[in-house]
Amino acid sequence: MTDRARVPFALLGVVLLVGSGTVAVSQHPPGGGEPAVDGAMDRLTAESHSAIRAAARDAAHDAARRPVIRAANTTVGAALDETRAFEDALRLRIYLAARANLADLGRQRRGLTVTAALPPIESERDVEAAIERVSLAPAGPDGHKVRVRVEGVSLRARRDGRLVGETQANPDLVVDTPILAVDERVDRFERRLEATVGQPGLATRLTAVLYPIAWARGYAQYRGGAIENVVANSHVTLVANGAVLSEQRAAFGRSDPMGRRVYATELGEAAITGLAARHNVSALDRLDRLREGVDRVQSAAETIERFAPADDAPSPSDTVTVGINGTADLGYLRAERAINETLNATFTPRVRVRADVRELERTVVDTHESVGGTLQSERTRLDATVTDRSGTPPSGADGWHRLGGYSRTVVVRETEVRRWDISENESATTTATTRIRTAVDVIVESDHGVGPAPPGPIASVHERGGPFDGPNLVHAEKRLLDAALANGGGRDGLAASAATGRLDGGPWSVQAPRSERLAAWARPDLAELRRQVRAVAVTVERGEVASFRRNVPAALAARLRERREAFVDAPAVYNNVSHRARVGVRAAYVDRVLNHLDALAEQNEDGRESLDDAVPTETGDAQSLLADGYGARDSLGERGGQGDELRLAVDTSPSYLTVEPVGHERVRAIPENRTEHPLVVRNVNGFALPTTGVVEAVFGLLDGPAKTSLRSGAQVLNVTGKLDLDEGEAQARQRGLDRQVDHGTALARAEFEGVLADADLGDADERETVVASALDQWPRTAARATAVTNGSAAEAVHAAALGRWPGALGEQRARERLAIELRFAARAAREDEGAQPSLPAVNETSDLVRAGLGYAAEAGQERVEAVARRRAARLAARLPSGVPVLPGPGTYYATVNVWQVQVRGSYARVVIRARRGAPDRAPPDLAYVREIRTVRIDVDGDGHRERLGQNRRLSVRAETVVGVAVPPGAQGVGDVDERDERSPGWPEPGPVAAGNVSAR
Amino acid sequence: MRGVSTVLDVSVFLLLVSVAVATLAVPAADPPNATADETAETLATTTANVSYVPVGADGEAREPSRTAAGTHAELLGRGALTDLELDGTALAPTTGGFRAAVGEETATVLAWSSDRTSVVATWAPYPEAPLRGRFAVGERSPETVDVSTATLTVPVPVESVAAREAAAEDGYRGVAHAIADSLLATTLGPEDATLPDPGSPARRDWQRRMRAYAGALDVAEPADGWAAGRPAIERALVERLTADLRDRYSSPAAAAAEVRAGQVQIVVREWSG
Repeated sequence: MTDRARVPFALLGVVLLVGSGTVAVSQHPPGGGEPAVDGAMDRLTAESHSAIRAAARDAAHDAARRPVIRAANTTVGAALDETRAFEDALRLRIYLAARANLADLGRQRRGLTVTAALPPIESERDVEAAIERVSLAPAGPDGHKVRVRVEGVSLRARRDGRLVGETQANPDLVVDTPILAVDERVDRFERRLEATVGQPGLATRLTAVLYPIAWARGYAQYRGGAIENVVANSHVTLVANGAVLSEQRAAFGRSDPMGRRVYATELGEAAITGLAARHNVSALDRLDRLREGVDRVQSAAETIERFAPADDAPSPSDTVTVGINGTADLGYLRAERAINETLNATFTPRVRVRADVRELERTVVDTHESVGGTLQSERTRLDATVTDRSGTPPSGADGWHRLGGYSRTVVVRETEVRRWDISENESATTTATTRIRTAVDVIVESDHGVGPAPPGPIASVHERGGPFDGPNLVHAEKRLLDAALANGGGRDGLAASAATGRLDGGPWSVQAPRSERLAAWARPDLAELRRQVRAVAVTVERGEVASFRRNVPAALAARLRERREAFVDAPAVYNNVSHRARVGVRAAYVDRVLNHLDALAEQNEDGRESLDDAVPTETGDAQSLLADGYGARDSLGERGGQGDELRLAVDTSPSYLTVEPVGHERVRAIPENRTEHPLVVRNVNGFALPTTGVVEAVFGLLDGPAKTSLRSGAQVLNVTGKLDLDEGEAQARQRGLDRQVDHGTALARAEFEGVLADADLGDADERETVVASALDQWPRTAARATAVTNGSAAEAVHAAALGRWPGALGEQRARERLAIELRFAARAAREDEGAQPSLPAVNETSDLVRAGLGYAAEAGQERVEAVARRRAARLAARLPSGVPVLPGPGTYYATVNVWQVQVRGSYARVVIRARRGAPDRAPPDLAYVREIRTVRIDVDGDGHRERLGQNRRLSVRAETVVGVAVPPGAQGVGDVDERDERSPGWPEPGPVAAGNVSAR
Repeated sequence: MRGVSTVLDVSVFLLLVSVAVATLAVPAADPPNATADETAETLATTTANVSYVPVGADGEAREPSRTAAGTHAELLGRGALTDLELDGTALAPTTGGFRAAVGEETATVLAWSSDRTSVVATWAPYPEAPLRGRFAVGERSPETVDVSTATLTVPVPVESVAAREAAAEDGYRGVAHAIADSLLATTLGPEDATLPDPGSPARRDWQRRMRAYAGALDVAEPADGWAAGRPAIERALVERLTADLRDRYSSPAAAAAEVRAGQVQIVVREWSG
């Protein structure tokens, strides 16, 4: 073989081995460092997300437990935006927790150190920057989660002190915590507790629940029930609590269960006692018993079902139909009396003179000579010379028609005389004269479209025609012309006046003769029309009247105006003047009723405006509170049910807002050794007392404030008559009032006799006997006066007269007319100032009554026995009160009274719980707490907790006005006891002025 | 001679080639920890929402259900904190419902991995402390098979303890005090918080926790009820921890360096077969 050198296989093997080794090595990253760094950094990033999520959740937990509602006046507090202090405090807490959690992630393994960090807060000044690094936004389909973004997270890896890996990250994560949603709910609740009437919230809800109660009790009182206060603070307390519970449901989806149970029990109790209990003294005891779980009460729904007003009182939304009624009678009476004047108005055509003056020539006769000196005075004298002239004066227009016309030439001599002062003792006179020639055309025109009837052509005017020999205006033409000429100084005189610019052209009215029988012919129309006008009616909700939202007289006037044309029933063309006069009587009657209704409408308006003075309110004027409150009472808005997703639980301390003071032993959220009023209530009755003159002063029924009405006097007297008054002053006062009231009835007696005399019935003695026999059925002064004011006296006299003079009163119209006359006679007597008892007499006596009944201010301590109280209340309730909204003749259509209700409350603590969280914490729930507390956290890690802000209590604040209207009756509706009822502690609920702690 | 050397040469060649093949083949296998790492990262980044009913040891529901949310790692960490024991006595009596729910939820995540997995979350204020919490999900890891391992750290709502300052101030007792403070603030509620209303489920739960602590620490119920019992429990816990720290560490500073109250370690192990 050959010895030629050859490459051994072994060498090839070595090459392959080295090559494979190279390939193997080159296929893997060289060294162990870099893959370890990447892995470690990835892990750290993942861990940092968990760290930030956990931080957000923990921070939410803490922020809810100690929410910042108002930022503190400190360096740290100033970093919070005042408008979103809660959210900023949460951002700060998240930052601090995230920073701590990230720091915990740092570790060391096999020489590699990894760290995660956020920039530190070295001093309080870095707080704002820290807050800015965290941003929050609601997330999730219902906004029940939070999107958290944290900027500036730095992740580092070091080996032997050398930086081998670094990442800056801004993690953006959605964290499942409902903190923002809960905060929003609490915010909504707070807004609703302080909303004004008309907005969704407590005030509106309170109005809605107060209306039926006030009406039920108002009617009970009106019907003579033993009700002292129509709206009492005990009811307000009850319904305010109910309304607050409903607000809890509206905001959170459910309400405090303990509060519900106390409320149900209170409600049940109130239903049993007819809402008549004066104070709910047992609320606290019950609260205690319930808390211990001893007292099992029936469910709220069951109790509420039992609570239906026992009384068949009308609801404010019931409608009532109001007719023009008495106002039509009043108009009828007056129209009938004035029927001749009304007829005459149509028979009183007018005449006027018009002149057309043209200047033909102007000549200057002489001028002023110059005398020097100063002008002292100047006057002008006019002299006219009239000569006949032929011409054609123009025709009249605009409904006036021409009676005659003529032309004249008038020469006017205008002399201007000036007086001059030349020196102290010397004066001079100069004259200048101008001669003006004018052509004057004079036209005399008349208008017979006068009187109340609507305008329209008349078929025959100046010739005979129509009923009763049809005088029409036959002789009127000449009379008119004569009258015009006589007034103007004759034909030449008129022309001269016209030329000199001094024409008085009228018009003058001239009475034309008419048949005396016209009145009898027209009168039956009036009687028929009265019946038709009486029946004109509007239908209104009682509540609309009570809240002054509907002005009934104005509505009646509007309805009557719509039908005026039909009632007047004017033809297209009047047959004759008498025909027109008869239509005029109808028109005048309708207009008279309209005027009266307009005046009543204005009085109603004044009554509405007087509200603002009667009940000074805080949240807008009383008028709009009353109107808005009534309008919004049905629009309670959404019920609960939202927030099911969140499943929030409400826990308020106290569960039931009592007006009695409570302390720590009952409500543990209240600090020890302190008591406070959770709720303070005030209700003011707008028009409580009869004798303050409000009623009459408002409606101008009286001229001066020193008098009150006979009605008030009679009612006060009526009540005092049922009391056993002490001898002496009390009886003297009563006798004084008795005399005054008796005087009023004597006046009525005289008026009645006058009516009988006008009707030509019997002689004076007979009339006196008839009236006396009618009134003697009321031997007592008070009863007699009441009969005069409520119309029964007039009815009695009417009946007596019918019995005595059946023949003279055989005709139905005569009987009807007498009835109306008598009714108005009674009214005239009442309105006569002499018939009205003086205000002090009524007031003093009614004070006497109240004192006698135990209603005097100082009588509070006196314990009157229950039976006596009930009797007293029934009597006192007969004292007149309320505002008559439509004082029609003879009677009142309705009486309105208003109550201003204010509630203010303060929850020592409110906790809203979301059932979220892991059970490692105790308690696990996210609990949002509202209470008085200063919130501090250690922002810079120096071990000292800086003041961040203030948590505040949730407070209740609502005001409303409710109105009640009752039909005509003896005493109207109103509070008897206290007009301005305030619960203890008013006006500040919450901590009793401990000084530095605010109630909010 | 030539023949011999040729045989030798070829033999050496073949040997070298097979070594080269081995060199190329062996490193091509996966790095052992990759799957455990992936699982750990999934647990740390995916979130879950669990609904649970607090149940007692008797399995009876104590309250209406509640939900908890977080990443799986967070929930596991909190699971560990709900199963605390002190010297073998359980401290959180009604938290089983929560752990069952988290366990199920985590198991669904682990089911996606083709390997078999064990996840163990442990809370201890310091290594080997007598007070600890543990929560294990998945299978028990075998000792005979190679496993890939990854470790995670997640925060729990126990405030991180400034142990070094506490040690400087009050020695072992300072460290123990800081730990006890922090833990009780979480498990019994903040010290300044008002207790839940008597009779409420929250109050009963709190009462059970108090009794559990008292039992583990041999503290008698105060005459005026558990509401006033917290200081005694805290004192006893501080005593217990102080004694243990003193036994275990050479100095308060050494003890402080090991304190990890605000976090839970989660160890993920995966293996095949």
